[in-house]
Amino acid sequence: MAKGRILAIDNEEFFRSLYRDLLRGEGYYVRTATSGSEALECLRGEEFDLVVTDMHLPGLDGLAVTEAVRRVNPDQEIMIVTGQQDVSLAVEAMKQGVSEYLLKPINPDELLLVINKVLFRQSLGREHRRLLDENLEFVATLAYYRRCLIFLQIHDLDRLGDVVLDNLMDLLRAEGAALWVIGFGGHNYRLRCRRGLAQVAAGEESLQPDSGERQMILNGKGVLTAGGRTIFLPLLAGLEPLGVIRIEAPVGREHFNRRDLKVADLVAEFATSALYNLLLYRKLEQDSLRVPRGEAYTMAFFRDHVVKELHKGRRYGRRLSLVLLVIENYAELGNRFLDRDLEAAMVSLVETVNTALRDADILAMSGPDEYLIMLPETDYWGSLVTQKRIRKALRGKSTLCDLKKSHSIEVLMRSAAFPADGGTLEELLHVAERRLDRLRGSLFQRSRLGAMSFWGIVDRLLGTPAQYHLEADGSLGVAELLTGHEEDLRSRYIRMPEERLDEVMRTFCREVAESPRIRGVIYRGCVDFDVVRKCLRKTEGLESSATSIYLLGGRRRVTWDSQRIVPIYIEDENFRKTVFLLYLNEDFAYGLFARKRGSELVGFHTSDFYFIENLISRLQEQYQLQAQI
Amino acid sequence: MAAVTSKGKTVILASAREALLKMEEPLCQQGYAVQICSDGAKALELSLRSFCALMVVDCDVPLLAAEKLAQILRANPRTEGMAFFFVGQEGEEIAGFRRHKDQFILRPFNREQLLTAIASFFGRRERTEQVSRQDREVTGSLDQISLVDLLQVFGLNRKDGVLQLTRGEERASVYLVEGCVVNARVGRVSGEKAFFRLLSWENGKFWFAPGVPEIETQIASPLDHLLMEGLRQLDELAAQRSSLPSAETLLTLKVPRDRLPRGLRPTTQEILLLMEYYQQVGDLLEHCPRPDFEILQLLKVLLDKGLVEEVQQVPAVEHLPLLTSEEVIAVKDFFGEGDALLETASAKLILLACDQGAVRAFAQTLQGVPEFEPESDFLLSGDTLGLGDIGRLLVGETLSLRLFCLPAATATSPLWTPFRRRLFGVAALGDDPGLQEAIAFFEGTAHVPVVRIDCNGTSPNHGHLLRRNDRKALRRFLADLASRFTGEPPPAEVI
Repeated sequence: MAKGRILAIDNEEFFRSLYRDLLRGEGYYVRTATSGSEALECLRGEEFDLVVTDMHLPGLDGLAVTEAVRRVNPDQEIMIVTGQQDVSLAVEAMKQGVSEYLLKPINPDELLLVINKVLFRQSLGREHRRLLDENLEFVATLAYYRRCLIFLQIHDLDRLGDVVLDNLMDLLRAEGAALWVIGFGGHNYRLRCRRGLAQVAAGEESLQPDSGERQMILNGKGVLTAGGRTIFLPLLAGLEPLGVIRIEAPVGREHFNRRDLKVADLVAEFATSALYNLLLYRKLEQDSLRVPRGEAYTMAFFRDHVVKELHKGRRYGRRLSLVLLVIENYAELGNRFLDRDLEAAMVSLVETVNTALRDADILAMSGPDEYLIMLPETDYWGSLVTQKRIRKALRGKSTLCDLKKSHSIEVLMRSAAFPADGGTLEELLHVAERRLDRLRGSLFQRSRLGAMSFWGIVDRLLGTPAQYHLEADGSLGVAELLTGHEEDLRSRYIRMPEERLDEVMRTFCREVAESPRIRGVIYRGCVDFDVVRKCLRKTEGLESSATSIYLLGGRRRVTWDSQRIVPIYIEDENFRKTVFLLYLNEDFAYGLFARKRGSELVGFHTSDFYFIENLISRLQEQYQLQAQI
Repeated sequence: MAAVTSKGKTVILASAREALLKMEEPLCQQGYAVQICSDGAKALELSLRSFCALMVVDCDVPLLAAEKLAQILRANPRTEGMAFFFVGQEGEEIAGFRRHKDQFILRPFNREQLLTAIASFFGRRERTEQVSRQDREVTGSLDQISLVDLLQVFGLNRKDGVLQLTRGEERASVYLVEGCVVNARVGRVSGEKAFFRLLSWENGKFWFAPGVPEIETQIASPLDHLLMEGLRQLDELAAQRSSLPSAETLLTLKVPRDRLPRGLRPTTQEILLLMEYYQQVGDLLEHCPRPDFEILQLLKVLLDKGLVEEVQQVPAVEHLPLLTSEEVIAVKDFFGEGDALLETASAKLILLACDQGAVRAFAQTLQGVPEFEPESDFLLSGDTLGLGDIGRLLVGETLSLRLFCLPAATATSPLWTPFRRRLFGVAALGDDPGLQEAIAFFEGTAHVPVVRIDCNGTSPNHGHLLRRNDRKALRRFLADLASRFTGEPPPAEVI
């Protein structure tokens, strides 16, 4: 390699060959030019460490050349050789930034010495700049590292994601970022965090990478996508993909650039190790506290935890509920499907249930078809609300398909509350199991009313007038078809004077006023709001209770000054044909449906909790009422 | 004040969805000023420009999220009082949600229900404003201006408001709408009866709080008539005082309830029924809703006719407590909702019966028990067996037993379950075989002891025999039920 690159300009062949021979002999790369314009041509094509020019040239003289060269490259080292001893010229040249000034005739030793000196000085400067640049970059990188160090101190996945994304957005000056973390089994990536203005399209909650994307992920390096408007940043630990980050919306510029990619990769490296450790930690926890597959905890952990919570509850007067969730047709499904499919279905079922639970709730698996959920700080009413939420989350998702048809997974739930139902886990479980047994015998399950609408169920229960025989002695005969709905002491057909309904309602209101802390809800279908309101008489106690009373139907919209008694006008013929009263509270339920026959009401009433609970939610759905339960 | 009225009833609807914007029409019909906009930025602009009290906003309203919007408006002193109804999905969480003010409405919602919620929000707001600007317009003393004059002044000026009166410990209110008296209250008495009593007040303090009162209308006659009638009754009462029974007089019914003459006037009937439980004229006056003068006159007639007789001082009953304080505490502990030992509470004593006669017979055994407070609905009810409270036994300062009648027929069995809360005990009245199933139900499923009660003495070996004026038997019966709470057998002295 040449010691340096030199361009020599002289119009005399003698000097040109002198430069060539002399300098080449010393190991320099030399080019010569006869005029200023030729020299400039050369400089456009190549870079030189030093330009040596004669002062007097035809066309552009030495000073003009210097000026022209400076315009192209201000740092260019230039040396002027002249035959005249003219101080003012020398001063002028030095002013132009010429490094050295040499007089003809040229003494070769002197020339070499001067050139060496110039080049040495130049390389020193260059070295200095390089070191400075390196230092700057080093400091910047150190700052990035410093910022990323915090990743390693975080032990919560969501928080880690947020911090990583925030840092990335800050360093890359971007307005949005999203993180997907690899899901169970490693087939897809699930959206975990989303910050700033990140836009996540509807189907993107779960990413299913195609082969191209998979390749990008396995490369482990950030890639500019969408024409540079986003960065696709894989998190790859060794060969194991952990997640993907997408950074969007650069600020103050249209596209991300290569430098951004470099920074992103740097942050990704840190984020990957933090994420890797976190996932490892979680897995470890899972292995010891949770069942091998899925998100449910082991019973050992659950039992321990519940016992502790119960102690806490006794000591500080806290409440707690336990929900028992049973897959009713597990055995049947087991006969029909492969174990693997069934297990996968259960895992996804548990995942779905978990989405409906709060962070502090704990779900454990007590058997292949049985799960327990602990709800801290929740009373029985709260557990009913949770069950309703779970049912809603499971709707449409609890099916298993084989090639021919799909089979629904029948999930039944019931709960028990501490301290009302018992003081130990065993007692609570026993109560929940007993309730579950009752639920299996519930009218709702027995008569398979699951798919029917509110009025459909009511019509089916009440049948037609011809199916009743009103005896003269005041008793009631009911056709065979209907008696199937009856159940000893729980569900009966009834005949009563019309005023009795108001009396029952009034008595319920009295109960509410006497136990104002009990939460509950009353729905009454009525023909005329004012008539019903009047029959309630004293309503002061109701306002401070935790029970809401809704009157539905009516003739027209009315406005009352009451927080608890709420009339909701619904124009529907059914409310005129059938009166009903539904009462559900933390402990009991009662429902009555009847039609008018003369001055009497003939209908059906029941205290079947599960039935009322479901009927109320049907009613709420049908008329889009705000769910109080 | 001007600012309050100009704020008016303005509602802003901010949503990009049809369902919410459609609320505009019914709201306008109800007299609200409605402004609609389809994005958050516009909503912000609107609320800063117009003084509005309520914004109904979709959680995911475009451009400016509802959460942020609410945060900005709450920080602004001009709009910090605004309330927000957020419409969103189940499980959505809203930062800075104020439970006492804001509401969360689940989508889809029922239009009428949302309307009701908005109406009740404005109703509440109006009331709070009324309370806060309640300046006592008129105050004074009845020595200087009589109630009659005062009311005539208010009547002429067609005033709305409540006239509050105090005389010593007594407190009373007269409710006026457009200058007409619509209701009045003294102690537990209300309506005309209370108003007429008030007319006799000659001293005391009064103050008038303007504003339309929220009260049930119980007086319909015009003010002039009302005053004339009241003054007439007062005069006549004064004139006849010597011949009418005094408040301390004790009266007793000479004929049993079922042998009363047929076709009595409703008022007469009512008084006779009440007399089964209240012997002192003062108590009768307190508990019968008819005007005092009318009652006293009727009593005089009844005395003259011999249906009722005056009794001399009844023998003083030895004051045996129905439940000892230990028992009361045990009961309250058992039903305790937290640390409510000092609050008044009630427990239920269910009376299972097959016919109304048995219930009446039981209630009659409680006559003369000072702790017994019968329910007027029950007293005036017919002969068919209903359900509900027949009265209360005030067994301690903070505990009362609700006597709750429940039909025992199996057709009504679904009704047994919902009333199982706070059960002090169950008593089966009589020995009708129809009671059997209900007794088995309460003993078996509800795990509550059922005690049989005999009020006629027909089957003496069967449960507790209760008779009128037999306080000991009543005490024995209650102690028996209470032993379940104390965990000890009933105290020896009562057995």
